[in-house]
Amino acid sequence: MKNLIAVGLLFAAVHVSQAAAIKFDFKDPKGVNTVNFTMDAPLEAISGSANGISGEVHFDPAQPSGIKGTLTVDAASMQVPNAMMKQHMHGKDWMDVATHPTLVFEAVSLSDAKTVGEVTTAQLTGKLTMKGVTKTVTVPVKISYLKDKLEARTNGQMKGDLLVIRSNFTVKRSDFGINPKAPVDKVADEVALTLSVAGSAPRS
Amino acid sequence: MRTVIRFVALGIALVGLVFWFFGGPNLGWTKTQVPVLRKDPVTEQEYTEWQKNFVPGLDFVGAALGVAGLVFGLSWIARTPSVRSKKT
Repeated sequence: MKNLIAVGLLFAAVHVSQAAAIKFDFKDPKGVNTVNFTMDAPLEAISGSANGISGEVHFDPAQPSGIKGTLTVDAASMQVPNAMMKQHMHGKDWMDVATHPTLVFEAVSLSDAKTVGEVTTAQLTGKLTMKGVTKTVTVPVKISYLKDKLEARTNGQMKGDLLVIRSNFTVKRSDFGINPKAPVDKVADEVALTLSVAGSAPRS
Repeated sequence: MRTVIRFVALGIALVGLVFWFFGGPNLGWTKTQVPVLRKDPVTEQEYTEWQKNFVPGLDFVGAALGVAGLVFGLSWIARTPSVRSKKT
């Protein structure tokens, strides 16, 4: 009998902890969610952005370290200022968009979390997949939990919360097989990435 | 004839330079779309909107000067009418 109660309590505890985490949907029809990228080059740095972002993140404001979720970037949404450069970037040597249509980041764990008010800063470890290559990376993140702000963003059409995730980090394109033959004195190996995404959790 | 071709070459070079100068002057690559920074008032996220806009860069100037140089070079091949009349 005691065992049954213990199992029951365990299930209840698991259910409560799952229920406390809010599911945020990062589908963004407005195109506000953006990943900016910059690579150094001799004439001028190659800078662009991608805004085809989707995914789901489970976040408990009372326990930020339990964050879980996946963000996906549509590789075809990557833009640069020059049409020919964009064609090269989407091509086989660089991002090979036709074969690898998405870039994926899967959150695994959060460490060094410090929460002040509605903002949590931490180190997020996750699996980053680009061009079919998956690497574990740890990146600094700033997570803002904006309670009841969805209404303001949807002009009063929906009630709910917003979660904004920001991060700046650098990856090496050669680690992901992104045109490793391109000489680094022409295009730098380091790619600086700036992520700024917002997800919504509607409430009825 | 040579003079006409040389004036054409000069015209190409000048048009290229003037178009570049008044289009920027952009010291980078030619752009066919430009990023415009926006800010979401609720989340305060900065995001990029791309607008179609042709901004000539140094590669454009290089191409214009290259074509001008080629046309100028052709002027050395062309014969002037006076030279032709002297020979006949």
